[in-house]
Amino acid sequence: MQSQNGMLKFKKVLPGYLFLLPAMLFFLAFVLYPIFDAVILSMYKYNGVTKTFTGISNYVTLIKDDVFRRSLSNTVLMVLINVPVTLVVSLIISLIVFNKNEFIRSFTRAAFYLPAVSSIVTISIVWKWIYNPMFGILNYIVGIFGIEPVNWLGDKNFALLSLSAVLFTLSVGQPIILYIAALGNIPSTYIEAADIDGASAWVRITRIIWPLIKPTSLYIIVITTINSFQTFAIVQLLTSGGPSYRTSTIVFQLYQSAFWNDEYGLASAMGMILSLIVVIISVVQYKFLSNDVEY
Amino acid sequence: MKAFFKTIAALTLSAVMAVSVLSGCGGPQGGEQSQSKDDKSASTQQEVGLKEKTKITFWFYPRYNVSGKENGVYEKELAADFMKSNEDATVEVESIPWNGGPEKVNIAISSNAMPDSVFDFPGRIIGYGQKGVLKDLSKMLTEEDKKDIPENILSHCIDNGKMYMYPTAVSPIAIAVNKKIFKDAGALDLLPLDKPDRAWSISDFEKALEAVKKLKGIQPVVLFAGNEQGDASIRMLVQNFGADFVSEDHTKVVINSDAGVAGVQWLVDSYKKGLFAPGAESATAPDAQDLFQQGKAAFCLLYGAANKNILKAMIDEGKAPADFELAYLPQPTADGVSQKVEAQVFGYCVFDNKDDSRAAASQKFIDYLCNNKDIVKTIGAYPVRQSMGDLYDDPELKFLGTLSGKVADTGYTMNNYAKVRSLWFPALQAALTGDKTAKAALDDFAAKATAAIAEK
Amino acid sequence: MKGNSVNIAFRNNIPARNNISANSKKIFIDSVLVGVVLLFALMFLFPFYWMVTGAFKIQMVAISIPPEWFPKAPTLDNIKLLAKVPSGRWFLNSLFISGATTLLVCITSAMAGYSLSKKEFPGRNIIFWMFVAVMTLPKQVILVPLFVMMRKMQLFDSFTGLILPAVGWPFGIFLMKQFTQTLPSELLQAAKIDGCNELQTFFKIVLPLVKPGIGALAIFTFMSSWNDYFWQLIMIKSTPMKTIPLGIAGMQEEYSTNYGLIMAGSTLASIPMIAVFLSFQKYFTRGITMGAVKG
Repeated sequence: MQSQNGMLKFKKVLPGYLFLLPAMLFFLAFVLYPIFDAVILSMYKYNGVTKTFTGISNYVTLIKDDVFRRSLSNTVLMVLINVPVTLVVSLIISLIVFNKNEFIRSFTRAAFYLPAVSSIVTISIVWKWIYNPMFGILNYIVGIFGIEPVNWLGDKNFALLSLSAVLFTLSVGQPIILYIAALGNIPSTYIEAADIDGASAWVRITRIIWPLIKPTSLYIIVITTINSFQTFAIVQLLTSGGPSYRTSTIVFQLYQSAFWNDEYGLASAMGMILSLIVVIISVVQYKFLSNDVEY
Repeated sequence: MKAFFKTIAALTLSAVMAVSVLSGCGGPQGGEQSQSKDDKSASTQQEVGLKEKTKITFWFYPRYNVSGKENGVYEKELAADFMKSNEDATVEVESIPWNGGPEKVNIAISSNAMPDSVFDFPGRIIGYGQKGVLKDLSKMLTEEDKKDIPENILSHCIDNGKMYMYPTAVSPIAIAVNKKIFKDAGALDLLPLDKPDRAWSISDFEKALEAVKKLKGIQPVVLFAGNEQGDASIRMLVQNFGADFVSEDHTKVVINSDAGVAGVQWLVDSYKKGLFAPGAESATAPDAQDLFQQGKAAFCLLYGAANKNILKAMIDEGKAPADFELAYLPQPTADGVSQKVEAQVFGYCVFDNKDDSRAAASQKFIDYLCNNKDIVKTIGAYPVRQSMGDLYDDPELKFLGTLSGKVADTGYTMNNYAKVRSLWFPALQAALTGDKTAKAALDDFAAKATAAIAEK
Repeated sequence: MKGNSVNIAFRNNIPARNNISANSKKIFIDSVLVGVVLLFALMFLFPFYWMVTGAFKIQMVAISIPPEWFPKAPTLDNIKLLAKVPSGRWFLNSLFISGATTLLVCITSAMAGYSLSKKEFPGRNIIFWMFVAVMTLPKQVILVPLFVMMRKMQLFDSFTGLILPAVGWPFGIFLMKQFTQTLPSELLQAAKIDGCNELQTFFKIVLPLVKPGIGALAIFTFMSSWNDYFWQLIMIKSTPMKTIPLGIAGMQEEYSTNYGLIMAGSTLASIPMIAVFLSFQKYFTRGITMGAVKG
């Protein structure tokens, strides 16, 4: 009787598992297993041929390595530049266009999201041409305004900013789409009510609109942070981390050490450090910002 | 559609495989398991090899340049020709790209799926030898052969007494100049074209750069430090100040000597003076060649014999200025006499696939490829064998050929060369941007590079 | 600036309470602000303009200063050269890889999403949260172990090796779960009463209803697969196996820096994505906003 009951129960839940199975297989094999393997690999010295257990020595090497530390601080700096700028600019743009006609909204969404949809390789290469200090069009344009030519990607004070600008063009599209949608969902009666109260527009934004779009903002902050931490292609294609590691990022170093120097263990350790940072920051952002988010 | 089903089948299979590895609690054990599997498949290959024709696989970088033919076509013709007279061998030829090719070889080594040979240069081949996956080819050379090949070239192919590369051609890298630009500037006499060996000093070079700097829309020369490409040329520029790159036994990087510091300091000062085009920190060797070929830079710091052919084709197609006048120059030196020249030596290695008949067949094919003038000439370089004589009538190419007698130690055969070279341009960038003094940048480079050499 | 950007919070349908002069002032400010946004949007579009026109410039023109804003003597050389590269093959490779990935992701995700949202079974919530947690990890962490794994499986330098890991990433599952959840459960109950078995229910009832969700997922997957530069870069090493972005990136090194040729290639690489985006903007918008809704 008991076992028959169990069978029935099993039969009832079986379809659920079966529908999940294909995705689960892929997930286990190509995501979860590699995650565990990355943890293990980070404690080995592995050049693709010989593998020796070295405990935490990869981590010690990284903490001592000034190139890695610089890459870490570059990455953090890029995040600190890109996240607030992306958030503020996308919010301003969205506030301007969200209540305009469909053509303006559509055009805005399309124009700002285009860099993100077209291949990151093409974006990087076009920018490399635009930034060229000898024949790039950017120096020609700033020259019209009487500004001396700038060595955009080679100057130690400009290189990181130049890359951040490209990163910004890749990041801002999605938040604009999200904000336009979120602002459009705010019931107009809320704003009308405030309008009748004679509230100033600034008050309207900070007191009424901002709390309502806070979940969206939170999501944008978390997503942009995670994405900015993973900056790689623009670095690899535009500067190779130069000048003297000033634009090198964690992921670029990970790439270099794994696929140029054959240091797979060390690269995995970099990946672990990156994950740790990203997870901690995501959790903190979530806790900190979702305190007073109302659902 | 068929491909799709294949993919699905492969997916399911591999998913199951991966899961079984996972349940066996992966990590190092998993690695060993598949290692032994590889060994097994290698040994079955061996058995098959004895019965059938010996099948060998050669990988080629696009070094043979035959105009109008796509990469790899000429090599296939050579293989077909070789097989006519060697019926017991089947030669498979694969063309591998510059970017990606080196990794492909590395992966092949670590997954035990090596070809029989790669046509490459010592910077990589010696590294394969140090991993212990190459055959020692010393026996392929007779005493007579050894006399035929200059010592300074042969030394590029040997590490620890073992010859890992069978050399076929050498391509000296020189500075190229567009004489047209100097004629426009009325400064042709500043070039050492009529001097013996065209030797010149740093200050001669500086004067020449100054002279063309005045021209509008023309850059004197593009210094490049953007990615790893062409790093040895810039290092040689510094070495010609009288510095060595590495100690003789290749265990220490010593370029931070006084002469080396003077060299880097000169690069930094000249860059600040505008003698080099702006943007050196992110410019690459192809950028430099391109600007030169477009007639917008007077010199190019990295130019070989093959580049001349490319330029000629560009001029013929109207993609480079028709009034281009190319000449080769050696790098300037501190004393204006004793020149050091960077050269790429090309040749073949033989991977140790634990199969004597394959190794023997590979050596036969290599012998065929390397001892035929016409084939060597197609590389667009100079034969390493002096007995082949002068292959070129063009006076500029003749001159470039004379430089191969002055080939200096580029350090290709050191341990961990790939890592060492990846440290060089960042160090130079640090000096160029003023992040560090020339001395501090070089000291840092030497320390890190020496540590990299010592790494196992 | 602050004072200006504030007015934008008004919605169009605010009751005509204000007097006419205030209204016209508001309209004026609004138009100015929209103008600024559109101008900014045009700046975002400029790299694309520069890329497409660059494709028709010979190298001598491409590096000339002052630049040619529009090619005076457009050349087709670059496009002819592109055929030799072989960019057609690369294009088809990209198409196949992205197409196969998309198909597999949609199938497995639709099934898993159905299972996780409409089926009851032990461990369901844990599994779902595991998927969500993994999504916050930077993907690069698993690439080194994945790479090592692919090498062992002899899948290096193969399309299969490119496709498999992309199918494992749980974003699609997350998206489809969110979407399927919105279906009324009564519908499924009714199907059961009508005598549909599990598969029939899924294929005949659920699948047609989640089609819009699958549409959004398909576009996203296709796009991210097309642009999965890092993974392609480390996995594909033979010229005929390259994807189009990879091929374009490699051209920089192999064919000197012929900007015209590279721009022609870049145009080819981004056209399909831009076309897909512009024709399915609605799906994009929905997909993005759907992904942002928390579960």
